[in-house]
Amino acid sequence: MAEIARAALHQTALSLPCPAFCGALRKRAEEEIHTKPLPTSDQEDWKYLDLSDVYSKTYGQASCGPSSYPATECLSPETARSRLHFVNGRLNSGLSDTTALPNNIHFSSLAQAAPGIIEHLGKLAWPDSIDTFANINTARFSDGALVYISSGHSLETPLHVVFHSDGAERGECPIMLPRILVVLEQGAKAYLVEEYSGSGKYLTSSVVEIILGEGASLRHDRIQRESCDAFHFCTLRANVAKSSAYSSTLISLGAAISRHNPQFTLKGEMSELELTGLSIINAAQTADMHSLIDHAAPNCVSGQLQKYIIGGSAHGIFNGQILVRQGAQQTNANQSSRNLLLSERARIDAKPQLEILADDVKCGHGATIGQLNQDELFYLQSRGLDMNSARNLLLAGFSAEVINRVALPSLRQALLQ
Amino acid sequence: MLKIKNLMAQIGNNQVLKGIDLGVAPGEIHAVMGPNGSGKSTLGKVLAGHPSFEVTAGEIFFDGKNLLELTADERARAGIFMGFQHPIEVPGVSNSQFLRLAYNKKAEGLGQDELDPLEFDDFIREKLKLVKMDPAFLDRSLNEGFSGGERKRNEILQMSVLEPKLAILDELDSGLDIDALKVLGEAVMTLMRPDRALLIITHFPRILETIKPDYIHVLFDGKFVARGGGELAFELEEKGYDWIQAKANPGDIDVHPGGLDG
Ligand SMILES: Nc1ncnc2c1ncn2[C@@H]1O[C@H](COP(=O)(O)OP(=O)(O)O)[C@@H](O)[C@H]1O
Ligand SMILES: [Mg+2]
Repeated sequence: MAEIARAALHQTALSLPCPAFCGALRKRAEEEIHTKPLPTSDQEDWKYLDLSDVYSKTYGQASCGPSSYPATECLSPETARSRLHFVNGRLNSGLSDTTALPNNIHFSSLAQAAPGIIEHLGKLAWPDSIDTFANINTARFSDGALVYISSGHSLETPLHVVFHSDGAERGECPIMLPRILVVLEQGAKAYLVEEYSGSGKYLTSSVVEIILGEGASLRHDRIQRESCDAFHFCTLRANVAKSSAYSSTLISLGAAISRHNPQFTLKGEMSELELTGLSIINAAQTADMHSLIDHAAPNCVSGQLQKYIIGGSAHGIFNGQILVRQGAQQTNANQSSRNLLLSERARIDAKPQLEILADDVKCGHGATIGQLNQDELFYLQSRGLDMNSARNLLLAGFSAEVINRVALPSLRQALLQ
Repeated sequence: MLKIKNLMAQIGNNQVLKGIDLGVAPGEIHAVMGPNGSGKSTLGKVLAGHPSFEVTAGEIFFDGKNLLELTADERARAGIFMGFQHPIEVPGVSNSQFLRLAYNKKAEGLGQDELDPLEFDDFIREKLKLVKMDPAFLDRSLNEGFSGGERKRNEILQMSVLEPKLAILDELDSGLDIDALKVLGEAVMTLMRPDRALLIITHFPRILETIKPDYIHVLFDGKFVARGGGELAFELEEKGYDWIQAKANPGDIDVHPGGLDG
């Protein structure tokens, strides 16, 4: 067994409500860790991603001592009273505040959740359907955030979940296992902001499960600005029911190696999915995005726009799979992958993967890879902008299309800077 | 102000400019006319410093500075403005953000105060009136989805923001209806000063009814083949470029050897 798995299983997870259910789930995940081979680049799903750095580290526990995290000034004022803040895996009560929320909204740490809701865990990210990193999370996660909104309730206040890590000690790399469960019942509506940040070396493996009931609607902003020495793995599973809508923007900036594996299933008719993603990487960073959109019902719409800006000797990987199942007639699916390479050594492996089993569908995809446009640069320079300003303005323009979708104004402004 | 001597330039293996001489003095308005493909736009782009064109011979001096040693942005900050025949779209870059940045770069170069977004807002409102442009265009991406005429209006808006010493306007009239042409022509004339100059590049003489040139230079196959005063425009309109081509012996039709000492 790899060091990462051994070290992870060595940790003791906090006990959660509904211990019998959680115990069984964790046991299943542990079995998977023991039986499933570790991801390596000779597996089709992990092609192009070099994980040797991840496997060669020594892993340990996060320090539980007081965090040096400066906090408040870098936080969004809009969510001052609707925020859960986890530092090194634990809910930080000083930084968390949910007093802005009405009683019928459940926004709490998992440790404080009602047992009945806990039983949704693992429903979408069941141990035999997820990779070893996600199973490590399932086997040992201690806490995380719960968003549960009952039928017909609609919440305008953004819900903010922050996972911050700075607990590296003695050269060991601590393992962070954040977990998020979102359940929106019929007709419920919410806006969730999920954010990762940190300093020093650590590994994050997070699992996010989203269950949307009929007519529900979730807006989801996701910001990954981990430390540049960190490893970040994220598995997301979402079920989108009839007439419901999910839209998300993922901004991925940090981590030496990041890997996102979101999978969305459009389970009911007339549902809508809108995904936008932007990854800006430099130096020797690697950012891997493996997404799956599964059209399992007719008359659904999905759109995906994934952008990369790659400098230095960084490496971007995009594998965007779209599956339109046989019964999913009248599907409208559109995917676009746009990539800017800023240096000779920058690299992108972008691969759309459409599998269409229905015959009456509208599906389109396109990918572009290029440098900054010389004519655009010249145009800006001809107005007196020096090369650097012209480049930055074009890069900001390229990014803005995605960043402008971030719904939280302070966060959007910070990202546009 | 501007002195061009024996300028030759090529793109790829295509020798487009084959020995251009031109002088422009402060306060003067010059027009470069000529048939399609004669090299008019190339001349403008070479002056603006487009990196695709290689200058193979000759020299260009602007206010005593050797222009060929300056990059495109340095030329712009030195006071040269090129209004393009086909201004391109720059998706994602907001028009107002771009205009403010361009203004502030110029102000920085002149040691003047930069304008913050609110101050710039007041400043740009006046300029919009000058070119009769709807403020809604400020919030859009630079030229994205603009019609040909709207792009030209935006070019003159940029000119009014930068107030260049020398503006080179390439086919300003293309894509413009009569009314818009009049508005923009008058805006250009409003921006004219005794210490500024204009170089109007045009295939059609129409624009020269509003922006009346002191000198006209006729370009043919990369060389000037005729020069004259403003009246040459009407002759060209009447007789077409074939008339020049027939007599295309440089020096033959030197109506006035205008502006060579600029
Ligand atoms: N980017 C280019 N690549 C190759 N040839 C070009 C390019 N731009 C202009 N030319 C050539 O240079 C010549 C002059 O073009 P241009 O300066 O645009 O003429 P005008 O503006 O007078 O119509 C033409 O023969 C044209 O084909
Ligand atoms: Mg032209």
